[in-house]
Amino acid sequence: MSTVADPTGFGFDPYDPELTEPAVWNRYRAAQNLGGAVRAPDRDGFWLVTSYDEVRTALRDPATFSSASGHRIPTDGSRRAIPIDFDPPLHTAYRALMAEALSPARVRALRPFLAEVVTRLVDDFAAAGGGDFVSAVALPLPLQVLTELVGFSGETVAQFRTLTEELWSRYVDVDPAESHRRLWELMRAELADHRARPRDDFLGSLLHAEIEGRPIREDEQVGILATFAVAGHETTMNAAATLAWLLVEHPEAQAALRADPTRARAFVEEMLRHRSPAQNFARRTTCPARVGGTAVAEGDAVLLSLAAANRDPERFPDPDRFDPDRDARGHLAFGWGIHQCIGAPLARTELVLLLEELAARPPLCAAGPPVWSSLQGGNHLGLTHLPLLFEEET
Amino acid sequence: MTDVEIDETACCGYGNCLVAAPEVFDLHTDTGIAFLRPGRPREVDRLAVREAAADCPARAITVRG
Repeated sequence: MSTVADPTGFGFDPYDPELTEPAVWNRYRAAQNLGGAVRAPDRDGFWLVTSYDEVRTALRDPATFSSASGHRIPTDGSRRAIPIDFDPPLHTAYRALMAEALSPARVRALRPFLAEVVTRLVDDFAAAGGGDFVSAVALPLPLQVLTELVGFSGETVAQFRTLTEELWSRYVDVDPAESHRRLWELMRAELADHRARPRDDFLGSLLHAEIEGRPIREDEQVGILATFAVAGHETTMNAAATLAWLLVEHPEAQAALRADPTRARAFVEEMLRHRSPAQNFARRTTCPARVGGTAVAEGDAVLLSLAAANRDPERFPDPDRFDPDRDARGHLAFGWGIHQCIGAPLARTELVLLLEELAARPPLCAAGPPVWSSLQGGNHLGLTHLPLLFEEET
Repeated sequence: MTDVEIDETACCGYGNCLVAAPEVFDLHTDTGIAFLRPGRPREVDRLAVREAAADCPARAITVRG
């Protein structure tokens, strides 16, 4: 990892394996200390934006900060994901279609199912005497939700983790095209299966959906399903494991939560602020713009760091301190504006239910050292291994 | 007076509104759904309220006047 060296810029390769816990936070802070936007020479060059106000301003202005070149560095416009790598009006149509699966009414209806899944997973974890919380609880939770929410088969969702890990590993230094193809083939097989045996689920409704008044194309169906498959499990998995890790790291916060489980919602929001699971999203300018007092040329790539913005001391005092009693609302962990995470209501519900369930058990404690990932796909920070167990009740 | 309404069935609890206009909007701590603060000023900052409506990803806020 290169060090700060102006005027050549601030070294920040989103795929650098050294950008992990806790180094990644120091790197964001170093960028912040240099200004709201700093020039990174890595991966074709981009502006790294770390100030809360500047990140939020850019997120609110999709006409200037276009998503059409992709949300990953480099913004080469290849392999665009639906809907995040599209601008209005097509983005609006895609998002509306996907929102049907994730509406507040749908989330409310799913709540009993979600509670049942959470309880069963934590029951099994406790009965096994603990173990790796990531593979036992944090991963199966979103995968089981995807079977119910979208209509994927259990065999299909069981492949999501391996395919996603392989995908991100290739982004570091290999062409990821082959991994994308394998994911898309899996989605095509699900579409074929639903055509052969029609079912009343989101996948079934996608077969006959319309986009801007015309029948949806198969590549669009595949793109939408691929987003559910990848974005629909990884973020929640990382958030769930991070919650459990925070409980163990902050015994006083765990004790407070156990004494008053209504603190779960605020605890989840502070986790999202303090350790935003999805950290960095790129845009490309459609016209000359000013970011953080810096002139950004038309066509420049900018990397909006939600995670750094959520630790901007101008917005959140003493930002590196995890404090579930603070007002973390207004954090940018789900983004902001037209691309704001469509799964946020579902994720919040799942995470609050999980935290309430954990708080109702014996105290959770560490059973070995945790292992953190680097930024997967330049974006996702989470735990790959988290050995935990419930203390024996005395 | 600016007239503001929240569609509670559409609200997803994003909370963007209370960043734009904290004197007007708040979230229920139990449900996470937005509500209009009872003590909100009669003459609210129209720009702030319009920003809140524009920023709502769920399009749950209507502003008249």
